[in-house]
Amino acid sequence: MKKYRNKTLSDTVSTVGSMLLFLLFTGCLLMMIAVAAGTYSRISNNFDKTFGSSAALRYLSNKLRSCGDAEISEHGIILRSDSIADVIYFDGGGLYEKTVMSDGDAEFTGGDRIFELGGMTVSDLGELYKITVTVNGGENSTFVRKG
Amino acid sequence: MSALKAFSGGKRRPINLFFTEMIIVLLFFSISGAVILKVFASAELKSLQSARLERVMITAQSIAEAYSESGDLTSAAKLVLGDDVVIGETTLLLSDTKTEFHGVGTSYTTLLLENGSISMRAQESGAVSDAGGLYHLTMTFDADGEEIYSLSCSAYIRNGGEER
Repeated sequence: MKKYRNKTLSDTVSTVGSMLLFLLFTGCLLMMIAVAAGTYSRISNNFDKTFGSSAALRYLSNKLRSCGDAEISEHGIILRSDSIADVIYFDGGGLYEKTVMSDGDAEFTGGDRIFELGGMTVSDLGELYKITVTVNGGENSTFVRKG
Repeated sequence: MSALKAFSGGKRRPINLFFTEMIIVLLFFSISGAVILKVFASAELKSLQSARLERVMITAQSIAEAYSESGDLTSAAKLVLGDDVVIGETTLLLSDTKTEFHGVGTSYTTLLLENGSISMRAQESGAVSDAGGLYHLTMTFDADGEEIYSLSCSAYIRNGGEER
């Protein structure tokens, strides 16, 4: 069995140095993981804020453009075309949509949850519609021409 | 001195392989770390740029919709960006009127968006006749001295805007 009675100062320094290097390496690694997590979190938030709201805005814009007649109320919008009506409304942190017959139950209840949003309003500005959605505290608006 | 002597050793000692290996490993991971940090930074930059482009696209489309309705860039920009939008100097160039229209002109306007980080160059040309005015608008968005997005649209205003 190897004995370490004759350990010199160089052995001690070598051992401590190695341990310090390993400690430094571990510290750098942990710091890098923290930086990576922060970066990923920022990118993810930014992505949700920008593209979540723009996807909702584009969806609503296309729906408004393609409908024959739009009925706007404080609860949501009813888009009528031919014999069907599309009911889109905001409730409880989400945007809901359901399709019913024109003479059917066009009320702002039920339907499928299509987007996670903080809020949605559609206003009639005469010849334009203004659509505003809120995601993660950020508000985005777009304008759509009638007809 | 005695410490130094002790460190150097009285007789030749084999190189501490573990110590050397640790240095090489540390060097390798330091280089890898630098590369990874650069990748993180560029990923975040790309993310911010794509978000900015998305905002600019929505703004441009909204201005185009409002412009198609009114044929007036200033009112369209104020409607979309708010009354506090910074509108730069407008240069109006009138060309000759020997066309089928009674008047033809081109104007260049600069708008500043997002605290001046994005500028919008708008080139507006119009031709007016008795029947109405046909206007074309080309919006070009610049950021950091580079063009990031461009969109063209038109507006036809009948009888001086009374009817579309």
